[in-house]
Amino acid sequence: MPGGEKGAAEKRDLKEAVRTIVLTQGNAFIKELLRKHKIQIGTNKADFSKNLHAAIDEGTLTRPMIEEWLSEVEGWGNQHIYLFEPPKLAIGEIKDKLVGSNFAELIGTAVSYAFPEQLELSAIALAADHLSIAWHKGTGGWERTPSKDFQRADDDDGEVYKYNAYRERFDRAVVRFAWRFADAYCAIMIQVPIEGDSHRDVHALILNDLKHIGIFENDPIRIPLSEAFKAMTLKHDTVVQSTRMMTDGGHLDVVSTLSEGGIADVRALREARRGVDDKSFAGTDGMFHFLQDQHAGLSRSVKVQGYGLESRVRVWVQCKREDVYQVLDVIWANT
Amino acid sequence: MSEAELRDAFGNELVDALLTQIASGDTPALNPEIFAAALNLDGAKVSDFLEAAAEGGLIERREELHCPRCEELLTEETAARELCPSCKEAFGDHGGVRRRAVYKLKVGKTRDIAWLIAIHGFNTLGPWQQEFSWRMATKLKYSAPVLIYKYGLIRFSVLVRWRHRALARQLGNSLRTAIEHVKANRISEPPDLILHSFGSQLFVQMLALPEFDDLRFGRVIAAGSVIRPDYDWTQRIQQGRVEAVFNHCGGRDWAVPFAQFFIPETGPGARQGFVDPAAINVMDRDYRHSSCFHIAELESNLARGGLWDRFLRGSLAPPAFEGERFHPKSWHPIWRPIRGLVRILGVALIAVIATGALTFVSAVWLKLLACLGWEVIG
Repeated sequence: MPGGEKGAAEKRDLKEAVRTIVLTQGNAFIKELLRKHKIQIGTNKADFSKNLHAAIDEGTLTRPMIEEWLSEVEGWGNQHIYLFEPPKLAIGEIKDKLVGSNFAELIGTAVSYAFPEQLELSAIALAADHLSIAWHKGTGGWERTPSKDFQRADDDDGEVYKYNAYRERFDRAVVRFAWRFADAYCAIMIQVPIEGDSHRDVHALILNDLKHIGIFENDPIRIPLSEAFKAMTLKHDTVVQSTRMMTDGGHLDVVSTLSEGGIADVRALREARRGVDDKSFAGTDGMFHFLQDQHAGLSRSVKVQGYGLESRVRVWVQCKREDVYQVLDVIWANT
Repeated sequence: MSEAELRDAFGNELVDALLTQIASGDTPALNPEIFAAALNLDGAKVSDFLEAAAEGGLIERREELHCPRCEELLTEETAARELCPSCKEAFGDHGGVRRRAVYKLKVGKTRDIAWLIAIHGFNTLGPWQQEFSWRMATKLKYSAPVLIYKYGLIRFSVLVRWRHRALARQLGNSLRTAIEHVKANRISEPPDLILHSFGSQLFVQMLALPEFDDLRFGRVIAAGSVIRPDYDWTQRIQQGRVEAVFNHCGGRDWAVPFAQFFIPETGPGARQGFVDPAAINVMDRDYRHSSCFHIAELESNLARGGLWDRFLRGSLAPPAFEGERFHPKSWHPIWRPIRGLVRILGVALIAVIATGALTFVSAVWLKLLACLGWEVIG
């Protein structure tokens, strides 16, 4: 452990990272960090904060521990994932391309602590089997907190006023280019809401940086996922809550309203789905639940929405890196 | 409230409709409005009935929690928070967490018929197969192809083993081609089978051939079966070769008891039933060897709630077929020397009959030729 002033500054920085980054992650994941390092856990964010600060002071929680955990948790889940054909670049040339780019100093940066106002490339991890490039953007805002609302009679005009409370929230969006060399696809993962052209702008920025580095020469080709989602709606490896099948001039929705279960649990819906000639519907979307008891490796059950024509997969919950890849593996196996 | 009390309070129609719904396994949850609409009954009465049925334990009432804004289903834990985890809006700003009653049914897992294969018996070309295919096509509102498998009209060749093996190999090759074809057309499930008489024996012989170990099958209905009653179905199920077996027996099937004497490796499966507890044996006392395939019986067995319909599409977990199935005691084939003797006598008898018939036909033919010859000369 570094000692003296340097050590105190390091602990201060770490505590700031806990406040702004660590505590914004899901409770289940924070508990996992505490449990893994045998730190007292607690039940809510206030407990976690107190225990994390104490562990940093005692030196039982260090920067490498937090960074290892953050790299598995932050930016995974609650995101939109687009699949593309992988770059044509030879694996052995990647490092040279990175070194020769404007981002050379970021190579080996596992986690960034920055909250930039605009999305900017902030971390690059190159390993023997994958390349991960991350962009960050501060997205803090105000979160409604009704428990802090109050009413007050104004002394001046005698009227009663109601005040709605908002709590300041620190958050940041992570956008990631992820390429596992063994896969027949690479992915752009975006933690930005899809509003208007927001994703188009993000894609433009990312591709601009990737082309500058030399990962891509031209825009990569999206991999259509409609066939995969069609196949998944006929199988039982996920709980299929709904599917929309699109053709020129219309679409067909099959939706289960069951809280536990999906289309497969309702005979009429199952038979309706079977009655569809898949070949007549070029586009398919679907809502799928990947349950932990069906997919042993998942750290939690994962709700996923697939948009076939857009090659987009939306993960509705925060989860871990391995969870996201397990979901993508299942989808890919159906393409 | 007991079932009898429910009947007194709400009438038989509602109680019977609910019991039918549970037995069908069509859905694990009831929507009171849709249930009322299906019965053309007053919604309030149906709601009261479902509440009473839940109190009596016939169904389970659960309360679901939903976000008032985005309708996201909430757990007790997330509902206790201020904001919806999905839309991030405060529950309180939209009237608070919404509670909704849901009625859960205790149902088994049902399944769909993906596609079927029908195999006929010997000494026939199996005209029932076309009728069966037609009934299935009109019964289901989606496409479940029926492969009508015909191996030709065979009679005396059922007596010899080598011919069985050749036919079983031919069957396996055809089924493999069919399975590959449906897979290419997005049907990934294995086929269900309807087997009649010697067709059932060909099927189990094909299962025994190692070259077809990769072929997997769904639920199997055997009617008029000549498979040995001590056939090890459990092993086949554990191997994943078949999912389940339904043996439709006939009390007046006088053909199958003779099978073991003349057709090698067979037995009276359709009279005795299968001893293996994994098989579902159901006896119809009035059925003869092919009664299952008479149109009225075919319609009745395939109708919603009929024996074959329940076997092919329903849950097989207890209490399925309780009170209908029977478990035969152990079965032993007739002592081999006796079977051998009967077989020799039978074959000899057939040979004598065949020789006699041939002699008779030849004599008639020669006589005809002689008459024609006299006419020409004359």
